[in-house]
Amino acid sequence: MRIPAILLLILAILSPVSAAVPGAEEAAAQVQVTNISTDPEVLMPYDTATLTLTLANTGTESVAISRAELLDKDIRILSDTYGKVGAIGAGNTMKFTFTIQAGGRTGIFYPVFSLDFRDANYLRHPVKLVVQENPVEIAVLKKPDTFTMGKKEEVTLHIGNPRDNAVSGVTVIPSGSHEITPTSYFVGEMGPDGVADIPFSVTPGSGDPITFTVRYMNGINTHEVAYTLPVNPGTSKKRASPVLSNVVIESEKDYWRVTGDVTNSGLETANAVEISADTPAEPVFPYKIYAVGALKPDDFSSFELTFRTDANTTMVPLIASYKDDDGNLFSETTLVETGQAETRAPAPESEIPTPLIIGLIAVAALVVAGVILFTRRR
Amino acid sequence: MNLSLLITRPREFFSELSHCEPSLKWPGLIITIIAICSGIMGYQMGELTGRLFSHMMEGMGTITAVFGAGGAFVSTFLMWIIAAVIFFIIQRLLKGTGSFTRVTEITGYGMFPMIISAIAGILLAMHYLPLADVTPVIGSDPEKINAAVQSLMTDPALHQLTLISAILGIILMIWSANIWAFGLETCCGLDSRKALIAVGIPVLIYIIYTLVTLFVYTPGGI
Repeated sequence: MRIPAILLLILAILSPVSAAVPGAEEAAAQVQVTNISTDPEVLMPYDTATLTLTLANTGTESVAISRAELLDKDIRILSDTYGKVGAIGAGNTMKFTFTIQAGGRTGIFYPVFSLDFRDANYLRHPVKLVVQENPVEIAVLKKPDTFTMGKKEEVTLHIGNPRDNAVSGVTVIPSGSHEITPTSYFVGEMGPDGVADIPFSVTPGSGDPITFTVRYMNGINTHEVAYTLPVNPGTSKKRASPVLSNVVIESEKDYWRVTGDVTNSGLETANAVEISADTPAEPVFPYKIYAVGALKPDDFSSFELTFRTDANTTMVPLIASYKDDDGNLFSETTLVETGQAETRAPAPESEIPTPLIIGLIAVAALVVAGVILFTRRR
Repeated sequence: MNLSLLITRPREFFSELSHCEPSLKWPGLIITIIAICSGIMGYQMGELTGRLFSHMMEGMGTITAVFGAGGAFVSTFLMWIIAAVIFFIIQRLLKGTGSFTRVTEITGYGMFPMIISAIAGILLAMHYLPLADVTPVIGSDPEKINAAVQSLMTDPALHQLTLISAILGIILMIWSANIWAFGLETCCGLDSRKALIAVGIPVLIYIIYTLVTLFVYTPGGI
């Protein structure tokens, strides 16, 4: 019987309840939590936030507070406990702000706000705290069927905020070895379920994908989400397509003459169309290059080229180059056969040598002179 | 008619001729042979020119060839008549007694060496014309046509053909002049000096004209 009696005595000495002052309990009962706010309103995993509680003393007596703290096993409390707070006067309010950090789990949590009165017992108030994963969503609203190297195309991104709270400082930053304008796009704040369409002009410079990174702030926490758009350059289904047809190649004395038609069989206008001969051909006047001009879809024009080749050349590439509406240069190559060197027209070397001509004329002159002299002497 | 005598001993040939009535049968035959040869060469040249404008009209080559042949054929006879008129006028001015028919007959015989020139012309044309670089004119742009014609006229093969034909023509013209001089001297009562003057003046003018045309006005020059 002695040991339990001693323990009860020690507990009685240590317990603060034992120090409760009659009347103070009623005064403490008038202290209420009147407002709770968090910034940001909804956290993401591992986000840091501030939690602010407002106390109001609706009683007629001041109430002394010895300590205020926030307690939870899933939420980390980064700020210190409020100790020796003092007293909250009758009709006054008092704010308590805690810095907290969410854990890796999502869901609704209830950390407990604990207020320790000096002359009375405790006030415990659970605080609702929501942790959501939902990041900003990105989608491609518009893009070309096929990217073409060097051709400017339009890509439109559609971004949306599926969260229950607003996010701020939303910025879209494209990256990749391409020419992209604008280099970044600042959207600003996006409310819950807010959306924004962002146009980009993309001129592919390689086959690398384009990465669109969306950076945004949830309170003081920076988050980013990326979207990768494959480029895979190819041939546009609508692009202009100059086709050479009715090609006739004729051998001139020491060069080739090619005539034919060029037709735009594509679905877009081919601007500044030029036809030329590539190596091993050596373009010569009068038609080193033939400028056709603009060809609308299904339009055609005749062309003519003159070039020289060496004796071993049997195929010559003809290049049809054109520009799109943005000034990007494209070209298509068509091989034409010049035939074997033996089929070419004879070179001028087959003419009668000049000394032989002079000799024949001299002989004719001598014969005539001889005849004249002969007839005159008789 | 001994035409070998005309070449080797023209004085004797015309001496015999002076005893006969003037006849244009043999001279006409000589001129016809020359005209046929000139016509053949004219056809070749016309066909070449036609290739230049072959894109303008179907059969343009044949048309120009026929016109070229006809023109060359007729112009040979015209040259004969013009030469005869000139010689007749000059020998009359120098107190000659030859009738126009006689002078025409002499002129025709004197053109005998021109047969050689005409035949040589055909052979040369057959050799050189295929070497000519003829670029057909596409479209009807006058500048293009002019450029194509200039290109044809300055073609080295054609230029060489023209040069050789002209020099050969001049040499044989001098031979003809020798025959004409004997003819006028023997048949028209002119002495040797006057006969040479009557023939020499127009022939010299013709030669100078030919050389000037050849060396000065022909594009490409020498």
